[in-house]
Amino acid sequence: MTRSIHKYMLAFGFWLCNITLMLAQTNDYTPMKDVEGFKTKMNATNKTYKTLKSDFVQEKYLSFMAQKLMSNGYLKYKITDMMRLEYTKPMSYIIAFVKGKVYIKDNGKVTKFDAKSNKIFKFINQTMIDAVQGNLFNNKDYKVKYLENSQQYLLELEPISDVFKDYLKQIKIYISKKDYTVNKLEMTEKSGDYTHMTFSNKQTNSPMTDAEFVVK
Amino acid sequence: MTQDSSTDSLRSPYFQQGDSLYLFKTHVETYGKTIGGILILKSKAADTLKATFLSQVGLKFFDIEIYKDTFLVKDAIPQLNIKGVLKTLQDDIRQLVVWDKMRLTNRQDMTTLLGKPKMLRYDYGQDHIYFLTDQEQKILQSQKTIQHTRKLKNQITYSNFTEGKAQRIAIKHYNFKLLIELETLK
Repeated sequence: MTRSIHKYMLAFGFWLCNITLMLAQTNDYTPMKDVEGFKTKMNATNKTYKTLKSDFVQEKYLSFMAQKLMSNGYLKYKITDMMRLEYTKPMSYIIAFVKGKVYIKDNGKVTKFDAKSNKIFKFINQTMIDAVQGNLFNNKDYKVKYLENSQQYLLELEPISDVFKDYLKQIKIYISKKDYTVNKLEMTEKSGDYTHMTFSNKQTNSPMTDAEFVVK
Repeated sequence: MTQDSSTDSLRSPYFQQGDSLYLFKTHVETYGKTIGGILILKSKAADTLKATFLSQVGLKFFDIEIYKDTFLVKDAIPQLNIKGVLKTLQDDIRQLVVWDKMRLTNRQDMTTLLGKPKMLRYDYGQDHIYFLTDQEQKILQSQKTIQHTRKLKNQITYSNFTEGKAQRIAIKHYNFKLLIELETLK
């Protein structure tokens, strides 16, 4: 009887070890084996994507708040420089980057200005579009660390230029190995506070007109 | 009259006791330029307040700690990290939150047309605080006017009261073009 219990305990121990190992394999990121292969594939896949539509959930962590600030909405992107982020909860807010122009709809009012005229929006515009394209590794303003696990690629970007250092300490981009689209974006500030954006229900190459990006 | 809606409690009609974290959808307009985001105010101690202003996309515009007579910039984007700008913003936030009971004097009942609603006015140093109340003396709107050498400097209007709390607050400056509109986030 005692021997039989020991046998079961041993089997359970092995099973537990296997599960732990499997989980570790799923979650742990190791240095990417073929960085050049990844870049080639990513650039080639990006060229096949003309449009992207996705839902997103945004989490904002602030060290002094017990709860994260949650918001959600949807994103539309059309090559090469049109993006619309429409927040639906907890409030309605639209920010769209259309061919170098920034449109913001807040409180029912639409504001339009040139992205180049405003450093903050130039930064947001460039970072968001490059990040959603998974293209930030081509940006010389960042030092990139390439990692991977069984399901995703992970790019860890550290700003080199002083302009970007003012805003962020690190950007992490999680890219699906299945279709090379961005699953998640993590932006960490100097203080350690961070913003995470998780994308779901992604649709690529669905028909989209330029007019859909203009905010009225 | 309940504690929350009492004009006699002489606290800021928004920042009542027991609450320590406040979130506002925020819209700032100055000389034709606008900026929007979320303003978070947290009472850290009786005389310490933390104010953080974020863009919708999560970028932090500023993070400051406001003390009784001074303030400390913890973080700010370069465009806002200008002494005059941050000083104005922290002044506004301090004016918004802090109402010193001891400074409220000289209550005057100012009857409005038909006597309803009712307007009360208090002196607050050289400034004034007004309350517009209904028949049950619940606050409908209140206003703090800040003066400088007898000239109106800025005005804080608290409105859309629900359970004694203002759902909308507007800070309007008169000596230069600045309007800050806050809407409570639930």
